[in-house]
Amino acid sequence: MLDDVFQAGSESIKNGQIMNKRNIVIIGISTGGPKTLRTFFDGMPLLDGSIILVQHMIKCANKSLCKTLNSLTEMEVRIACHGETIKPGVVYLAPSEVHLELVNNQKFKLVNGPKVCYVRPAVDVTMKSIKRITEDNIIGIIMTGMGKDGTDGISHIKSVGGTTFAQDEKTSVIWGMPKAAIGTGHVDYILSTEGIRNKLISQLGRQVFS
Amino acid sequence: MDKQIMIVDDDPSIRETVEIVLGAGGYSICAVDSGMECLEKLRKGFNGLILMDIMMPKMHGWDTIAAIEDEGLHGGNVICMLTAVHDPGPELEKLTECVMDYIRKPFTSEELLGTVAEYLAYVQ
Repeated sequence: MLDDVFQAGSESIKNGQIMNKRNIVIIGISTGGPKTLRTFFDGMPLLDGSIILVQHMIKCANKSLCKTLNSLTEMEVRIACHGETIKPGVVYLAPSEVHLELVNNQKFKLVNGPKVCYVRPAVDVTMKSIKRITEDNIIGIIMTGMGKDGTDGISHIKSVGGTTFAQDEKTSVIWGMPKAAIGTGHVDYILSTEGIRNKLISQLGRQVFS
Repeated sequence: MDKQIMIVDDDPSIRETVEIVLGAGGYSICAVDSGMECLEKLRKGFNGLILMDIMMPKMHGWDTIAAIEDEGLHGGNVICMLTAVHDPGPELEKLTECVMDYIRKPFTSEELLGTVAEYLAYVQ
């Protein structure tokens, strides 16, 4: 019986079973987000990973944001649905007015509940639903916005072995959320919008269809 | 009603500048000098992008947005702050879902036109 895990492209083999390595990225973003996301996703290639985007915004703007981002990136951008299993190459926008969790790092669960840090969806809720699963590569990113949403989430991402980013002051419209995340001491990289994007591309790599 | 842009600012020079820049860009502008007038326009069916100052006498920008939410007037409108207040402070935290962007004065024509082009598309 093989207990060792070894890499084979995006697959690993454990106990004789092929385990698909998942790259999961969770982004929390607020005021100034749509314009910032335009820069972030502009020209972004099809990545070998799933991006979960938690943008604080009014519900009627959800579809417009998806439409805008779809025009910029090779990744597919759509609103996350309850029960949906995440796939690589897709950006999932957390719908407004509900919290978004990930069950076993695979399936979305939309949760009614009180606002967290005055917002719903809160990226804290999404990030804190992530489990430590050896095969999964987790990345947490906090970008422009006011308040403290993402502070607990970033600490949790570090605790499950993930990598964390915060947007720098220079490129943030409002440097509240990133600053609060940095204040936890659990942020690995503080970068510009483009810097985070470029690092993400180099870390995840492009999706290859077999 | 076609999408419009509402500038809410007690400073007449700001209102005039916005009207000139956006008017030249082909946009339809509605200029008001107070939060109360903004609410009145919304009650009468204004549909569009609202550029909101913060520091206004009698009713500042944050209270105006809170009143918009309380009266259920937000609808498909989009709100961006247009303000000389560099650091928004804790008031924005409670209204963060209602405010799409935050433009600081002084602003360039390009910034203003870019903001409007970006966010008018989000108006329903």
